Amino acid sequence: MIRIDSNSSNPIYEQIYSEFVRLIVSRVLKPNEKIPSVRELASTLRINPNTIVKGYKLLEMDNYIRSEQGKGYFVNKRDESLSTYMKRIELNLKESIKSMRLIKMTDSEIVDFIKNLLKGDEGYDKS
Amino acid sequence: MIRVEGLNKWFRDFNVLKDINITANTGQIYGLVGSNGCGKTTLLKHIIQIYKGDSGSIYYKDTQIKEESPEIEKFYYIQDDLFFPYGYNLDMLFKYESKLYKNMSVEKYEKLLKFFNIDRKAKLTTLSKGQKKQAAFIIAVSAKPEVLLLDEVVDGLDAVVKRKFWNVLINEVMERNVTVIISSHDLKEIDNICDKVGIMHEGRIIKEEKMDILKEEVKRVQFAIEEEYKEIKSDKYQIIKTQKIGSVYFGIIKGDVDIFRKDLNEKYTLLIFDELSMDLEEIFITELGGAGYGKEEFIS
Repeated sequence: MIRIDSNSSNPIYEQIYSEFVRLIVSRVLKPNEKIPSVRELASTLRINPNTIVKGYKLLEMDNYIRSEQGKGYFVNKRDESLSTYMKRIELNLKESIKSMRLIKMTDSEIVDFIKNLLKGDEGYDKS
Repeated sequence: MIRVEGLNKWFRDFNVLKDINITANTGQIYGLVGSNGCGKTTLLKHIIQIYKGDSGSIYYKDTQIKEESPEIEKFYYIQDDLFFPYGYNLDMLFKYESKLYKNMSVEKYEKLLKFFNIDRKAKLTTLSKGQKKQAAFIIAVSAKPEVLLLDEVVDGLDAVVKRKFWNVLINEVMERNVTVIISSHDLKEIDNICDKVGIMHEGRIIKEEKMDILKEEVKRVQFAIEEEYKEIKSDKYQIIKTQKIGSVYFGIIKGDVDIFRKDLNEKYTLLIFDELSMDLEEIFITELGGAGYGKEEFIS
């Protein structure tokens, strides 16, 4: 379920973070579902428990999960996790817009560019 | 917490350990890595007080450890070359070791026996290398030590058993906050598991660092530029090695990779730039290369 690439330049705790974000926003992990304990994940992935904790803390800080004393970590309600996710997308888009402005693209050119991208993306879910 | 301070050891006129300083915190998994014959086993044997250093000291939770210290009973050492009393099976060994270790737990022993699937009645000397290691590990964990010293313990284990081994070890660390010092020459095996690493070479610790910091410190980069690349000097980073394959340069960088990228961008027309992380094996080779080890080329 969780894939870790030890050759990636991203630190492992960040990979754990983004893997869980992927599973949570795509609804593979449902709201209020319990996620693997630090111990379980550490031994299945053969990764230092402290690294897992670091990833989980990051997820908790960004409201994707919550920890319940003595019970473990649980997926948060959908609106909570989505708000951080949308903020992240917004940031990425702003970054991209900045790059486009750099080569003097106008607003309408940017909009057209994105529209074209949307047309080309067959996996785009119109619902 | 285990702390080794200024440890020196001579075997006649051979200086096996040279001013060793290491610290493994409670609940930490400390990886001791190094070239063959660099003194890893000798160091572990000092910590468990099989050997006595010529100078320097070893502390456990700020108490200095000596041969007769009661703290030693909280340590368990699995050595690389295992030998068992003649004619003993695992049950007999468990009984014997129960006299030495007060915390020896029957419950844990039974659980581990089932998990590892080792024949408790088989003569230990007839077991395979991997089975012997498992037998020793079962006893070690059943003794519920505060400190586990493991010398090449995954060596000779098959993939399935290795997984079981890490599973148990991680559980012990989390459940009981065991401090683990593990030596291995199989760096892929302990990569991502250790909190901290000590790299040994010719009796010295040439580097001791937390794993995450170590991985941030040294990075592999690959880049392509339009012009011919000439080495850039900076106090913000150090280029350890560059190699050109086709039109792509491969380099190992210590320090700030972002500044290196910026410098490249200013001096040259940068076409591609990728940053890759290094695994423990590559870090090890880089560090030892710095110490002049493994630089020779074999010419036939």
